[in-house]
Amino acid sequence: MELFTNLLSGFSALLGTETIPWWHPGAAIMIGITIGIFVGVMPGLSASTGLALMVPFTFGMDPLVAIVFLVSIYTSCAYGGTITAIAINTPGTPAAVAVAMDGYELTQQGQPGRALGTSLLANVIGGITGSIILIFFSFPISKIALKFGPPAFFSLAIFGLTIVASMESKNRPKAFFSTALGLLFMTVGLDIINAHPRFTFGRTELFDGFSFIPALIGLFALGEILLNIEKDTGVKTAVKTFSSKLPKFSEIWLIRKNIFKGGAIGALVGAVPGAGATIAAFVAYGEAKRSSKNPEMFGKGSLEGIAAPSAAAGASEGGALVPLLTLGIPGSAATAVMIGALTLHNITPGPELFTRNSQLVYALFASLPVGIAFMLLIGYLGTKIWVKLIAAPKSILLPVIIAVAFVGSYAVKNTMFDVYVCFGFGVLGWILRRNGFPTAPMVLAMILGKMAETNFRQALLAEDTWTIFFTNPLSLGLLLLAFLSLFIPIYKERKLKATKSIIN
Amino acid sequence: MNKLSFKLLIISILLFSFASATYPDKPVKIIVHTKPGGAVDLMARQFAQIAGQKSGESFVVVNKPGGSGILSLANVYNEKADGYSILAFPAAFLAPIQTTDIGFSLEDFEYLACLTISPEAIITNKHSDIKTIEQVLAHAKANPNEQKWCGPGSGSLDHLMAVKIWDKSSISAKWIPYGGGGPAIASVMGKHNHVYVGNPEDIIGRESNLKIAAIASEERHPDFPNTPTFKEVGIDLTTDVMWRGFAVKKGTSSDIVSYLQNLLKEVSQDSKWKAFIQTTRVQGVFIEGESFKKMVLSDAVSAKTYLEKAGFSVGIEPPSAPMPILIFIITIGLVSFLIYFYLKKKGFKKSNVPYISGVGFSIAINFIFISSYFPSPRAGTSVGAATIPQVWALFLIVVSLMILYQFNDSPKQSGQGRVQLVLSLIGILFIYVLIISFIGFLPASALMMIAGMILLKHEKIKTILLTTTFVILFMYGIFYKILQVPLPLGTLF
Repeated sequence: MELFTNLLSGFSALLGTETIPWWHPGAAIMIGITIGIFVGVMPGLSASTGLALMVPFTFGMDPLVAIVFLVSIYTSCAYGGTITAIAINTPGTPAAVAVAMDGYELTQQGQPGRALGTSLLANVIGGITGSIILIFFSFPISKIALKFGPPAFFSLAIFGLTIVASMESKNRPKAFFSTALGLLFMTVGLDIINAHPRFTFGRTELFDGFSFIPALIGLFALGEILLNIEKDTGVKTAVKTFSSKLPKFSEIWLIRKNIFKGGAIGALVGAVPGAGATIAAFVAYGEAKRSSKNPEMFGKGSLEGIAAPSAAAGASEGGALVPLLTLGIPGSAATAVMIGALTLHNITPGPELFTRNSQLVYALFASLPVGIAFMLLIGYLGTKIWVKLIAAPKSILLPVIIAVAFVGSYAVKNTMFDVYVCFGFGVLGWILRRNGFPTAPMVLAMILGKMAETNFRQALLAEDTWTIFFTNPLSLGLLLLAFLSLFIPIYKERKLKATKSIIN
Repeated sequence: MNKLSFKLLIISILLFSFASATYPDKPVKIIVHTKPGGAVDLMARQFAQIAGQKSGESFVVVNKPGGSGILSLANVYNEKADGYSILAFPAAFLAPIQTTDIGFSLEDFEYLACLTISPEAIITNKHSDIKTIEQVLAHAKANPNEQKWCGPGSGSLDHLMAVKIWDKSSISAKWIPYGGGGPAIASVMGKHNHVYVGNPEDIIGRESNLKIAAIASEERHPDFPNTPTFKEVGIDLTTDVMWRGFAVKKGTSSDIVSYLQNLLKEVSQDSKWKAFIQTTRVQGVFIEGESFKKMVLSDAVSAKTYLEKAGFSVGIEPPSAPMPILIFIITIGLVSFLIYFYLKKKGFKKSNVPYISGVGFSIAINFIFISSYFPSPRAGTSVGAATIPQVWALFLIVVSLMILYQFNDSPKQSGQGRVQLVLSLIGILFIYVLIISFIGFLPASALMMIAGMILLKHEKIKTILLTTTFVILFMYGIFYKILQVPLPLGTLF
């Protein structure tokens, strides 16, 4: 019961002490959540960039206020990313790509309110699941997370890639085509093991490969706009009526399992350093589709398809705090910035933190539910604004999105080259999508390609035998999962076809 | 205001701006080679804040990540030598500047001062059987080329340090590079690797799991008095430090250089700076220009030696595929041609799908062709730089052929007659990205938005102008002012 007394002291720390009046942490959480949602909404601003740019503002703050402020920014980014994914098919964060698949579909059917509401609720419940797991199980999980060596990471990446098979059942070869293209694009740049420049054509800008975020913005935001203009018969007159009606409680109750499962997947995958929110969101999407009673609804605006990845994205933030707090290891780019920021306040994340600065840790834990409550409030109020915004005439809205997309691409690394990358991938995205090639698999491949190759080669550097991927139990398990996730959907369809032909 | 007084005002403004041309009279950029949040970035930001207070002019950190630091070096090298672009110069630059063919060298920079140093150290897992330096050496001797050492990057400072230690203690081990320090440390904590090469501050907060086995300095580290130096265990390594300093482009006037050097000195003695350095656990120093330069150049020589020992070619162009772009275009042309005839022969209607798979096929073929020139795998491993690209390329070839094989006549196309409009918009965007560097980001964006809205037939000019103004102000406020993103201002002005 020590945990509960600790948590209580955490809450009381949030309520203020002699040196910190109660409204300091409260205001920090509220401002942090708002900034986080904004950063998530803007394509090109990632959680890590947003955090890094806010660090100087925390210099004058009390450490407790600073940590609560930064964690609030960090935890709300994932939600912000899903808003634009649903509203205008422009995922603000890579993880939101999985949410866009069904969310944007529902928006096009005129029900953005339902999609946004589902995603908000799922995100909140996922966030709570993630926080609970973080608070109660962080030490056992961190032990498992450390067991992930190069072979297991490679198999995790392969497992992630096989989700493409269940994601796109209509035109599997085309989905695999996008996957292969994305994988190949990710080999451009200095190779990590030999530092040999590959496919760079002598350009130093390509040494780090294509910047991922500008490519994502191009494929989705720009590609979507171009496709939208082509498909729409009268841009001016086609202002559909968008309803801001939120989902009914009974609808959410029906998909509760998906939300909790998504949350659990998100927290666990998020806790593995280096795996992160995107894989979690896609795994949750694949699992939701696999276990769904209506798998044919996926990709056509299924609430399950929105809820599962949203919950996973929301929970993975809490998950990624596990290795940060218990081991002092950053699980993602954003948590790496957090470590830097915390050290500036003389707080060193790591196992010693729990004994040395326990009040701070539990105040952080206590701030998570408070932040989530604020997020629910701001998200609820924001939904109406978002729906109004996307109802603006497209002839005005689309050029504005383009401008913001380009400025976001530039802001990632402050280089014009990324603006060209965004433009190029935009045209590519349009060409692919108008011919029925899905682009979400390409994004997944671009995230997992580097992880797969790096760990594959690290594993074989350490031990030059191919059996290493099968003798390591974690790796073997993940490879089996990969095998199942690749062939079960194909097998199921075959069976369905066979029964149909018998009936006919 | 009458005309005369207006003229006088203009003249006085002009005179004033000439008279006040003492450095610095506009914001000074500090170029950093990492993304926001890295150790060097945080140092630069702290420096910018204190330097800004001391000099009365603002110092702005500009992140130019990419190419292991090459992009930030090139950025400062390509600017005027006017002292308004300062480069945060870490020891990590020594390897890439020597292995990459970029047209400038370490001699092209003026070294202002070095502000922090930290000795190199090797770190082990406290709960492993190989934790002290003696155990590391004994295990490596008993199992030649089996022990696993790790750290960020290949050819990085830490990698070269590992090679140096192996060389000086006559052991052999494997180097497993990681994408960054964090995952590499995690791999040692998870016992996937034996030794992490880094700096003493890397174990802070993880003392219950990690141990510094040895440290490369003349004397023991004051914070870790129980950790032996390499010299104590008989390895000829004294001072190998990871330093971080500042430099400007060579040719900057000596007045500006000495102004900046004084400023650096002042900052290094500032109490706020000292408190910051305390939290990062590196050592705060002030090594002035000449000595800093000597340190840079002698470390560069050492880096070159161990780069070559580690198997990197310094100053030699690696073999590469001839005329890759030309061959690429020819392949695409040829494949498209074949597909065209195939479709015609079959009597299929026009569809783009076969052409897209044809382009994919061509990309794959070319990737295989180009990667066949990559260096062969290092000794002790069967996969090289070319392996994975070739595997993915084969995958792409199989899928492309599958799409071609399964293709039978085109289903309905998604667009109907509005392709023209899309192509016009792409044209506008093409012009937009081209003119950004000339007229600046915000003016170009304004023109693009207006052109786009007119193209999409929005009729209310007032709405167009109002929205554009609002968005430009929003971007200026958020990105340029608050987030300090250095949006290009354009070369025309």
